Amino acid sequence: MLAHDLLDTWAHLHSPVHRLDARVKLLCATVLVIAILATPVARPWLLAAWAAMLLAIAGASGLPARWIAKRLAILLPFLALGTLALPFVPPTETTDAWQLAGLELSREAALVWLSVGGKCLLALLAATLLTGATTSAALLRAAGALGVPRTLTALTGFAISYLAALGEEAGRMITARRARGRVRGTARNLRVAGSMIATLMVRTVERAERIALAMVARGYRGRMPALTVQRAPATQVAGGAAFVAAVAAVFWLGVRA
Amino acid sequence: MSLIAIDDLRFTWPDGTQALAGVSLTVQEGRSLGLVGRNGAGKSTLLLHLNGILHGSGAVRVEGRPVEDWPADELRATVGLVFEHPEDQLFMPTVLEDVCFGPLNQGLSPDEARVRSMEVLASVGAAELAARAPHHLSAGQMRRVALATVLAMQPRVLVIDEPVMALDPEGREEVIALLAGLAQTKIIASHDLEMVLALCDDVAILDAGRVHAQGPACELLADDALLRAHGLRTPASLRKG
Amino acid sequence: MSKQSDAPGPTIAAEFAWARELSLGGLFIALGVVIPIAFHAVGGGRLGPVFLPMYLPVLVCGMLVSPGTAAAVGVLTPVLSSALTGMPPVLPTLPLMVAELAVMGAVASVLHRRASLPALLVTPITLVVGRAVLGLCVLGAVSLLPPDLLASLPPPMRNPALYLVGATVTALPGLALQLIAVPAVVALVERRPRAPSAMGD
Repeated sequence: MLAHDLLDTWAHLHSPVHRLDARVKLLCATVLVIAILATPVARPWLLAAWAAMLLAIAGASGLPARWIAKRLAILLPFLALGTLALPFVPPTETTDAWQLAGLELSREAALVWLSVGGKCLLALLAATLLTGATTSAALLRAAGALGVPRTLTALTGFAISYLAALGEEAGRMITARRARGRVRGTARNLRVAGSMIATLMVRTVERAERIALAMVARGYRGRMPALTVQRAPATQVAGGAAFVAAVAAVFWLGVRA
Repeated sequence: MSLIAIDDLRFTWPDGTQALAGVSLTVQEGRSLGLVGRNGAGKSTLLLHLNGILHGSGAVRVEGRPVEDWPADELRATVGLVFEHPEDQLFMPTVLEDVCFGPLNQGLSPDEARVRSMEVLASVGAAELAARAPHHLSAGQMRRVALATVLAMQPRVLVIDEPVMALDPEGREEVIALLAGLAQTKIIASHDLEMVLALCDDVAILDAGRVHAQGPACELLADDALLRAHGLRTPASLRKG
Repeated sequence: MSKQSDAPGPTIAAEFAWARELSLGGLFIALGVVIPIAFHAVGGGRLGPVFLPMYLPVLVCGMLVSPGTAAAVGVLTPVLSSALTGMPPVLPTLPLMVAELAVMGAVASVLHRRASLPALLVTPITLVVGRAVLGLCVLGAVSLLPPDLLASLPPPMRNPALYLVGATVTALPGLALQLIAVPAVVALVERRPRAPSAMGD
């Protein structure tokens, strides 16, 4: 079963993070991710500050560490590849050279890689915490409330709704194929993969048309309807504003240092 | 005046396959109809003509008026269509939003839609599922919610395609009991002749795009020779000896 | 066909077409998340840049929907995938993929649905356009970014032309897969009798 625990797996817990209004969470997470991505290369300890914030939030959220680690682990091949490539980037000048365990590394390249790798990891951690502590339904409503166009939230909503079902279908096809024995040879493997993907896509088109029929049968007129949502409690809004201010302050201090 | 009257309905797909070759049948208010037939007989295609999604040649009249003369929203509100696969009808993030989809499209305010949807969910025994994501439900729960999404539009006729497909015996019983308790006139397309016998007063046998017989359920479904001629078998409860 | 007055016929057809845009777009975004995961599960993490599994659903979808929806699918697929699975990595790959896929989706849609070119022709054109967009974006980044952001670009990208050639060579199996699979799937889809065709889709 593929893609079955990417969303809503732990959204039913009751931590302070879970109980926050989705709009506040989404806004804070977005601001934090922007700050993470905008962190200059030469400020690695600013990344450490973001990491500390995120770890604190992770702790408060009550999300299982193992689940978070599993989600972050997908980046491992990417991180490993980049790290292993470091020794192959020659230092530009002697002042740039770094002696590490007998290898001569380019200090600049190492810093850059630390920055890039760190940003990817931290951004993913932020996204994981957000999606772990909030139901996808609430996130979609929040996105709409914060100004994301309805078409985009509608498309994402459909994608999220059918993610698990399509993952299951793909998983079943893979299992069925495996049960018929291993396929030897890359070319044959590729053909098999290609035909499975093709079948999956055709079935998905048929499913999409059934969904469209159901929408029309229930009166769809070209605009996705929406229910009203209550206002977020003032304390939460204030807390969110404080968080955003804190992120901005840390960023400003970090960049100026 | 029949609730639904179909006269010589023909329909051909763009690639030339003729799905309906002259279907004629009537549905009386208060007498539920079972539409039975082998795979490929044209049942699902026929159902799509009842709420105006497909248009063939010939006449389809709902409450005496041709479907072409019905405003689209009124027709869809009068003839509620429940499709075969529940997961393809539950596309909103939560059950409540799915059930509210129809009423909101009908012009109800969000509050009115919410109230009506909770009532309908309660009537199908799914009120506690309102905040759940539809695809995390069991098959039986999804069937009930899918039914609720259409019932929320308060249709006069309920058209259902294979209501108990792929349900376990307990789920099947629950859905049959649920359908039996609904006041609307029902048109049920299915292979499950035991269920059709339990729920429908009349039966129409569809084969190769044409209705070959229409009459009371207990009579037609007991006629094994007739059923066999069209790829069906008499349900066990009606078999003698 | 019976006479169709304004109320039920064309209105439902238009509504179905729009509904289909949303459902197709949304489901193919989901495929764009699932198919790379499946590749990962079967082949390991190194196969992404080689086989470009995310491109398949975006290209196929592009030819089945309007340009606007196709572009939206091109944007949302890598973003959702990155947020949920971490791949593509937020830096530096994600912005590049967003640009490439969005343009490819829109181009595929315009060429296939507006200009009515066959999928067999649209696919290679779209892939070339995609690579060109990739090259342009890297070139743009190198030319326009201030020095300290520039420093965060991985060394291979500092030479856009070389990077583009390298990325394309690595992705040759994937590009080949697209050239074969995408027209085949589009042909399969368009040959079936679908409900909307009856209403002049």
